[in-house]
Amino acid sequence: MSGSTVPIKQASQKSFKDELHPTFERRKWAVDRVIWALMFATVVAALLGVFGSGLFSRETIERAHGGGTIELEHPRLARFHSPEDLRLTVHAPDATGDTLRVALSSEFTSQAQVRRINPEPDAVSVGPEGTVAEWQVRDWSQPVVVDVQYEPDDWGRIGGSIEVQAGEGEAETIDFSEIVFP
Amino acid sequence: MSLVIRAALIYFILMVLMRAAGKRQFSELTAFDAILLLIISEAVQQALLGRDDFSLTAGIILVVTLISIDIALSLVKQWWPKADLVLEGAPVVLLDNGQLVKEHMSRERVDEADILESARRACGLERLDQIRYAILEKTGTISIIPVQNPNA
Repeated sequence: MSGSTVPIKQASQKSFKDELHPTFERRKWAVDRVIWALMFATVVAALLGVFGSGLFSRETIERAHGGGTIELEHPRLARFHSPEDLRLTVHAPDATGDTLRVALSSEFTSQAQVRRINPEPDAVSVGPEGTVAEWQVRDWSQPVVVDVQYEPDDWGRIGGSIEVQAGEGEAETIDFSEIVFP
Repeated sequence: MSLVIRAALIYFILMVLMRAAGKRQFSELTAFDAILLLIISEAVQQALLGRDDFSLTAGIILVVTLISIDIALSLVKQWWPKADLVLEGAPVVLLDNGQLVKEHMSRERVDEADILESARRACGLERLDQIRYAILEKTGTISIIPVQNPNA
């Protein structure tokens, strides 16, 4: 017969005590507790929005423009290929003309897939400044809210700018950036 | 809704449903039970991930949340024994000193054949009169304590 053999009497001398490693186990228990603490901290951080979609994950940039304001609410922290949105609120009571023009820079559209713009624009075109959407606005006395739904197509730091022109006034450009987790 | 809140809700809802299903339901998986578990996991996956969030981060957060809840509950059970009773239940005696406890058996949907099967597997016993105690454990398995042989 090939291979070495061990007499049963010799093999039976083995005890479960031979497999015990109390020092190793004590170290492992200590490491376990550290990992638990990290896990609980991760859950709390996720609840607060540190990894996107939470209390601290969004930022609002507000600019005074003409007699009103332009406000961009966007995620500071987001997740790769998960639904996000940019919310633009344009309050321009003194605007003349009836067109709201919003241009999303090509820097941003190359890093994110725009899924939907709500309300649907009356016209969309693509130019050197990026993707341009236009709406006819009947009443400037009320704020106009535009919601751009998108999914980050890249991870790391992504961003770009959004250019807003209310009526025939001057365009306002807001730069924004966000960190996208993989 | 936050991933963490969704994961916690699913965890507790599943826990309540599994407790209501009874100890024996998934303790020994039949082929159909295995399929049922697969269907449940598929259905739950949709609810956990919500609107098409298939990012690596979301997956890690979900796993960390579910395991954290499990660890937290095990710590609670250790510190507060009543929580263990509520979350895990208690063993149930099915055969007490040679007498079948019919009420417990019907409540837990266990029959004589189940007790005999466990007796055969665990102790190589053939008949019910060789069993002193049969206990349905929290995990859903049936423990058998044989009648002591006075001649042994």
